Amino acid sequence: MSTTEMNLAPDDRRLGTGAPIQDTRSDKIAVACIYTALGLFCLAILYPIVYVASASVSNTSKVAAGEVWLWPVGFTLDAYKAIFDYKSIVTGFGNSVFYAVAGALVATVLTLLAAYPLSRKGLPGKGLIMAAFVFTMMFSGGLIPTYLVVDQLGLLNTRWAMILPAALAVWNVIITRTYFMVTIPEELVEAGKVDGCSDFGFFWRIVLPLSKPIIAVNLLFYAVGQWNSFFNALIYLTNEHLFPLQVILRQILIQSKVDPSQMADTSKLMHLKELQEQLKYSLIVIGMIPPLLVYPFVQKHFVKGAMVGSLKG
Amino acid sequence: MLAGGGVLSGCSGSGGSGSGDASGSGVAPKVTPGPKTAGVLYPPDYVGPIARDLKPITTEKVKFSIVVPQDLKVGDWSTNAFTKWLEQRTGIHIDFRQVASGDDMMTKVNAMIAAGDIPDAFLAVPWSRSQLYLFGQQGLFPDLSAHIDGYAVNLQQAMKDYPDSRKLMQAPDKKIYSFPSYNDCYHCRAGRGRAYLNTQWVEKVGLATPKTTDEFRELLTAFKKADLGGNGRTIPFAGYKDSPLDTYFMNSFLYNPGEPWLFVKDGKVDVTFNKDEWREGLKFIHGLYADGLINKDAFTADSDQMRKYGTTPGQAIVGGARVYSLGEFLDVASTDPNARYRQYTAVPPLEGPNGVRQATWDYFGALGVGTLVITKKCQRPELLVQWADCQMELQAILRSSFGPQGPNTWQWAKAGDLGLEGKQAIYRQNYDWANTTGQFWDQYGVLYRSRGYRSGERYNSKGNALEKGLLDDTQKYYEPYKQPQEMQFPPVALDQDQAAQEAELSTNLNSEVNLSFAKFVTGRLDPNDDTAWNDYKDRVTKIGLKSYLEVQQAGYEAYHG
Amino acid sequence: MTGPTETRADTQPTAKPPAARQSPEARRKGRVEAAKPALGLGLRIRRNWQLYAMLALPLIWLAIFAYWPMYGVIIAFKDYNVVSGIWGSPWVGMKYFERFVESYQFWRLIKNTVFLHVYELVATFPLPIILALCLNTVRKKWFSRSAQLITYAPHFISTVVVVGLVVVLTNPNTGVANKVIGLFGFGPVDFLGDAGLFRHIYVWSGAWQTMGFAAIIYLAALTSVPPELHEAAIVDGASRLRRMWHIDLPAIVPVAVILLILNIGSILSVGFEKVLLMQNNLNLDTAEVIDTYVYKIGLASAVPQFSYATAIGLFRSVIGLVLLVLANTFARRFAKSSLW
Repeated sequence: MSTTEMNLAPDDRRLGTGAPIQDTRSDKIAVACIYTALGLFCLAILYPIVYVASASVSNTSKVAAGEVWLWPVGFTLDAYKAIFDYKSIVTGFGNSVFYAVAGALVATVLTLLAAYPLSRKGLPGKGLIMAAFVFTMMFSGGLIPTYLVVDQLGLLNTRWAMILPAALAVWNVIITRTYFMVTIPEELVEAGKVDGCSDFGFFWRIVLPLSKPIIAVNLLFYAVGQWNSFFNALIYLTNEHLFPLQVILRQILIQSKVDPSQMADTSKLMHLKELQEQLKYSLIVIGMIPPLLVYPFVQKHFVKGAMVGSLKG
Repeated sequence: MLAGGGVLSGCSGSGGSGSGDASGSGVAPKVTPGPKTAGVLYPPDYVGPIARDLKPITTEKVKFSIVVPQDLKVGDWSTNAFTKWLEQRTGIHIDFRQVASGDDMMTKVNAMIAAGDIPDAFLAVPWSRSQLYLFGQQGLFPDLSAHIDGYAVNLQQAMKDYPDSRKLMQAPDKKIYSFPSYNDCYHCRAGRGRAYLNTQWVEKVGLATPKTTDEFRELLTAFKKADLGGNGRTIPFAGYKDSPLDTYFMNSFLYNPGEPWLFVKDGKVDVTFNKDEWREGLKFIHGLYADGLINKDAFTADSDQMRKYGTTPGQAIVGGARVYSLGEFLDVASTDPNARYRQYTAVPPLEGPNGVRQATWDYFGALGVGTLVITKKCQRPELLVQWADCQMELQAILRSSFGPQGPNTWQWAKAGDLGLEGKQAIYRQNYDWANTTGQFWDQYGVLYRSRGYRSGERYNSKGNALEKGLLDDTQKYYEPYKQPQEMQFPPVALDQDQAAQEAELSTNLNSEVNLSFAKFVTGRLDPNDDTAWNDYKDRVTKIGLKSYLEVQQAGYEAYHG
Repeated sequence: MTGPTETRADTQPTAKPPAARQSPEARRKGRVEAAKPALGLGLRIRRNWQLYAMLALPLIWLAIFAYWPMYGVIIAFKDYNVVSGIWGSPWVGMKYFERFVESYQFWRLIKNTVFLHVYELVATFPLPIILALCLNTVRKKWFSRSAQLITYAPHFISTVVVVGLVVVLTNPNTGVANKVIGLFGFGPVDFLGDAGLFRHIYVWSGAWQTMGFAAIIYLAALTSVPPELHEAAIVDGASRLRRMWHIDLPAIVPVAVILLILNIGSILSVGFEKVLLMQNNLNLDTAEVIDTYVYKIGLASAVPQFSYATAIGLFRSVIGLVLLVLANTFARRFAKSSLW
């Protein structure tokens, strides 16, 4: 992959060499439109994010009164300090990181193992296996039977219960397989065969190095999936020390939105509301930071022409 | 009855640790309450939990596994301060299994039962009466009647204090499948029928507190006209989606308890939403809405939006609101004497054109079933019953609610301290909920909070003014207008088939009634148009109102049967 | 094994300049030829043993976590209760399917769910593609990278907060949306209270939230475009938009087609939590969908309705599967990629 960095996108290359071809008028208009549209869209997206960030460092009653529009009002870090009062939030964060990393690694390995053979032309039984995968996207046994299986495997209330049942998403297998079909030409496979490469060797030495973008995407999607998931924790865990952040977040955002008529205690309702108002935004920010930090590492692999370039090189 | 004695200790006592034999109800209690703790003051005519000195229930090494909800405030149940205290006091050790809380909890609990992964007991799981009944009949939950009659001295006292409670605890087969909890929140009984008005505004427009629907309308019109919020921002009367309007306004036309709108007349279960009086009510509310006297988004605003209306910077823009309590739209934490929430007072129900003036009153809310559910896995249910009963003792209640005794949590009241109802207080409470974790069970445990106990808290104009305000206005404005108890549809338990049928029917009916109510009020349907009204009634009939009422009637008869 | 020349069109459509593409007929012919086995089945299986070995782990996973629990669908045909267990509960045949189909709200639920899903599909399916194409064509690295990061971020804002923001923005008294339409002389509208507007708000707020995240998959696919193609096209004087259309877009099509097929298979599901949060008494006409209905029955029910919920789920799966198979067949015929 040494050529990757050299392999600039065509447009950049043209700039670099001072290529004689000029953008046409319509090109210029198109480019201007793209920049403007993207810019506006980014602004539209940025607003709520800035709002959430501002709200997390603002005085809670000012937020509740709707005084925060863009920038913080009554700056305070209380909401972040409050987070550290709750051990379960701190351990939850740590657990989430663990589940995301471990879950993504295990799941990505399984996905690649499934996707590559299924991308190969003429593998006998491929259609059947593919159908077996796709069928499970439509039909599932449902909550209770799955729980019984996890129970019988002895996974209940262990970290494995968070990782193994979510260790493969058929959706990812299909996408990855499609990617392989597009990027690993049959000539390459044939060429590998001629060179005496076994399937294992070919997969390991040729396919994987060529598939960094899709590996990165898989890692990201699985990690994000684990990061955002709460349901498995809810069902399989009964130990607070194993709970991920989302369970806590959900408790604060959704479960404390109690129907006021159901509360026998107005003071408790108010307290819950205060807690919710205080922690809501800071928890969202905390929950957003790791995925945002990770993204640039994924993005790094989205280099145009990386694949073919290295093939030739 | 058991008062004096006190030879034996306890939430437990002599025989408690020994035999698992809890054969008959009607047998004399095996345990007697411990001696009253010295130095605790009670108001005259006090009805409620008493502080007692107790000895451990058992000296054996016993441990029970109990499923509990995960909670930020409780923190780790096994290291919680109240857990430790209770362990010491009862001698019973608990292995807590924490599951995520909320609606989701039931999913987990059902999965556990399906897998046969059953603990000795469930604490604070939101069981419905029908579930308790079903699982009880299937043998998953044993009948606790004998143990309660044999060992639960505090609960026995509570059942004397609240004579209805045994009936409310029993499933239709007359068995008791759970250990209950009491929270007699007096003001909550009137919560559904409560509304507020801005009294400063009432004065400013020179009108009196309205007594009739016409006066009410006149007042709101004056609010709007005077535009007291300024810049046309005035919202004469505000509502939002979590707080239904019908439970206040409809009671000027007919008794209406709100969703699921059931009532009982001469032993017959019926619904309010297809009566002509309901239609008259719709016309009235629609009139208010059409004139811009109710906020346009009364059915769509969420609680955050409602709070924005209530706490606008500068001056108030809300003239009145249909809420359960002020905290829903105002900042009530402030101790400032000019804080905005002090402008608002509760408003009594309005008298309708036909002289109807009622406040919907909840007679059954004090007792909650299912707080502690003991399963068939439990080898020594009598010990867990005593463990639960122990939590109904006064000191345990205070510790469970506020944490260990101390100046920053709670203390016994001194002579002369006055409670919320103006009598001798029992305790002072000064705990800082927001900054406390791991100290208390935050109302998840078994509690006996009678009205006497609740208002036995020392009144402190800074701390609990809101609670006092609610108490007072309930007494003054709502209780006098409450409907007769026989009219309220009681909490019933259905069997599996009935429950399945009821689930679908009530989902469809509730959707239809809520949707049509909102449409009639906002004018998408015209309540004055006979066709629209008859179509609505037809839809309700078509959904299956008749079968729905049959199911409820059966439940009602089983309850009384 | 098939000859490389025939399969090339299938495996690597993007490598070919647009003009050189085969006609659909030619491709179909190629496929027919490709289907002919050149070697005996047994030999082919033995030759590929390493590929099967790779599949072993995923298939074991599939067997344990997807197929083993599947016996649970019989709950739909029983009066299931957790104490009696799956085998012990009595059979009731099609009772719960009948109950659902005869339910008062059945057609409304189907209609609302399908409309919402299809609208969402039509409106938001092309957006990430367009976004990815635009990001891909942007020359300034810093701009492209920050735009990617920003558009990706909303995926991590909890649905509750997104719905909360929608409520704030559309508020009839203070919301920005109403201020904007106020400029054009329209009176304040309670957007959320209008059953007719519910779908628009749902779909477009969803597009806003997920577009950037969904574009990632296309950005990955775009990495397979060989720069030489662009260079050649530039020499030929192709404009930027033409290159986007003829070079970049074909690189995404296989993935897009697959995603589309999968999406069609889930026609009877929508983002349940968001719909539920956006519901209010005024928009139930359009905002009640299958998932929220099942949820409400579960919640309204004094005893959990496992059998009913499973039956509705099964109903949905069967319809989804039929549509998926249809979509796949269609895609095989008319597009270059398909699930099998």
